[in-house]
Amino acid sequence: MEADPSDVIRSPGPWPERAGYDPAAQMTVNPAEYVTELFRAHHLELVRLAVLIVGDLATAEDVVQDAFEQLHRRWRTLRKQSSALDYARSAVLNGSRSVLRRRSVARRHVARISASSHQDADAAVGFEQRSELIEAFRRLPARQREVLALRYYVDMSVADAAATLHISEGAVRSTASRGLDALARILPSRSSKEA
Amino acid sequence: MPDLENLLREELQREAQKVQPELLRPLQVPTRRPSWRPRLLPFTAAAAVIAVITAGALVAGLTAAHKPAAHKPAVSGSAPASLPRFYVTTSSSPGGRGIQAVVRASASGKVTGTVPVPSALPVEWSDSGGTFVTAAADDRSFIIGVQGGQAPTKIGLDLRLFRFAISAAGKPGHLTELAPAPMRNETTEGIALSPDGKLLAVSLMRDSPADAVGAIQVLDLATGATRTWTAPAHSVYIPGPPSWADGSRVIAFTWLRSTQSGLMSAPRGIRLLDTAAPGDNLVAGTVIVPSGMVAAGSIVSALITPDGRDVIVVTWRDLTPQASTHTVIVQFAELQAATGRLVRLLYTRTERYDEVPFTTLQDSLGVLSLGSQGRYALVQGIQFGWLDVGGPDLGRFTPLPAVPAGQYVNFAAW
Repeated sequence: MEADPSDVIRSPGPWPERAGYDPAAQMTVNPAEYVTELFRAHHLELVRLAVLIVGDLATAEDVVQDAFEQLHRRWRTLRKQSSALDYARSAVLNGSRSVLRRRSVARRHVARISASSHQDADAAVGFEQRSELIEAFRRLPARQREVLALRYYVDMSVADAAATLHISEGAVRSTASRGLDALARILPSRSSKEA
Repeated sequence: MPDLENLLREELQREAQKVQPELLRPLQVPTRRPSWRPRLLPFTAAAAVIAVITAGALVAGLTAAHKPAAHKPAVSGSAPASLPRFYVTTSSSPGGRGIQAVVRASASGKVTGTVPVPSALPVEWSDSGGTFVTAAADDRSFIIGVQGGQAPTKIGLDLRLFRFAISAAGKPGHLTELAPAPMRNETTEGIALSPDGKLLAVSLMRDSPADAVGAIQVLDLATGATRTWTAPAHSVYIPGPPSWADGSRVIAFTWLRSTQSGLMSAPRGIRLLDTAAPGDNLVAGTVIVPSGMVAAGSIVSALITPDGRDVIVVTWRDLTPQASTHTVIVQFAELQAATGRLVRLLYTRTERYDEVPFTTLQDSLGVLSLGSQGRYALVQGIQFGWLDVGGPDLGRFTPLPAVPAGQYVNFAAW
């Protein structure tokens, strides 16, 4: 999980629905406020990204809240303020992976403090009525889900996805390819239609 | 596969769009930490000087920001005679479908055999840490626990338990499911076989509709009978993985309160549970480490030695919290079980991390398994490997292979 010192986080593409928003333009003299504004502006999009990885709304919200607190606490460590959104995305994906890896009791417990309302919220969101393709996506290994979500939900380039995930561009391509192959195998009917 | 790519793009957008703004809880802006009181400044300044000197000495040997040398296991043939011969981890099966148990020789790190865990288990858990493994004192019998079987949106997971044994050459036999596994709709934190191999302790959070309650459940493998110790209701008390001592009588476990700030990186305390004592209160036992701090590092994980004399812990500390690159010190230490006092530091490593890998590191550290004689521990520090914690070469660390570069071992046993 080490970082390559030469690794430079590249500028990501615009977020869906928020392409015109420029948090840097909103930046005040207080970087902590900037981080807060950035998360407020991108809260919905970050939660949606986390939902694609972890599968439920309450956990996704916790992941984003954790990422927010991390960056709020450590905004001084950002190499440049303009990379805060990149760090936010990385932190959200990292937190999502952590939840999946350890079934984080902590975050789940926080979710359960208002469990009933969130279960209702999940039901309202309709996560139990997923398409066949999304169900197949949910069964992919976490890393493949992350790559596919960045490539096909956030519409990141291979280079940007590689920078966000701290892996090589080749790894992004191969992981995406494996993920798509797996989806095609899981969805034989769709594969045959494509053929 | 352009059609599939386009379809995936559309479906992901549709799935994400289900989350609408009105459903979200508002972000909670962290409160500022209280400013330091002036009367503490002289002490703080002195501590800072000491910390800088210590950090400087520790960092002096580092030449660059975290190079991946940590993932090049250098297993030599000079393994001690009393080192457990094999260790078991879990990984994705070839092709990414399902889970397999992997047996490796401790001296060489070479795979001696694999055995698939039933493919009915959700693939998504195969690389996400929903698997647990524990070894009996004979070093040949293992139990694997797997969470899964429910919709991802459901809180809590069933735990399925499988037993298997390995031959003298490290070849695993078939898995036999322990049926019926009593743990349903719960979130498992860890499992541990008792030294006599008769009892299985499971740390978990019970997922009642109204609340989540920390508990340790002990399953009699012969009869299926269970006994449960539960934290007081609404105590938000989270137990960590258990370990056994004093025959099969005492269980040690780390703990924390879910109300602690920065929870996943908060220091864990350590408690003992006497299973021979009456009652069902999880927190009625002895607190041996209340603060969760050892030598200024925060405890992440701990296991008690089988003789009950010592506790082996791993701690971490960020030496440069304000820097753009974090210099992290990870230490393994031996504590006296009776008092929680530090006996000795066993092994120290310092590395530098950028922000995101740094946050992952905190969550990955662990004392994973102690051999039956308590001399050697499988550990996940900055690297995965074995550590001499009571043998002839105290503090010796030897890296072992287990997972691809960039990943951590969450559970392993020997």
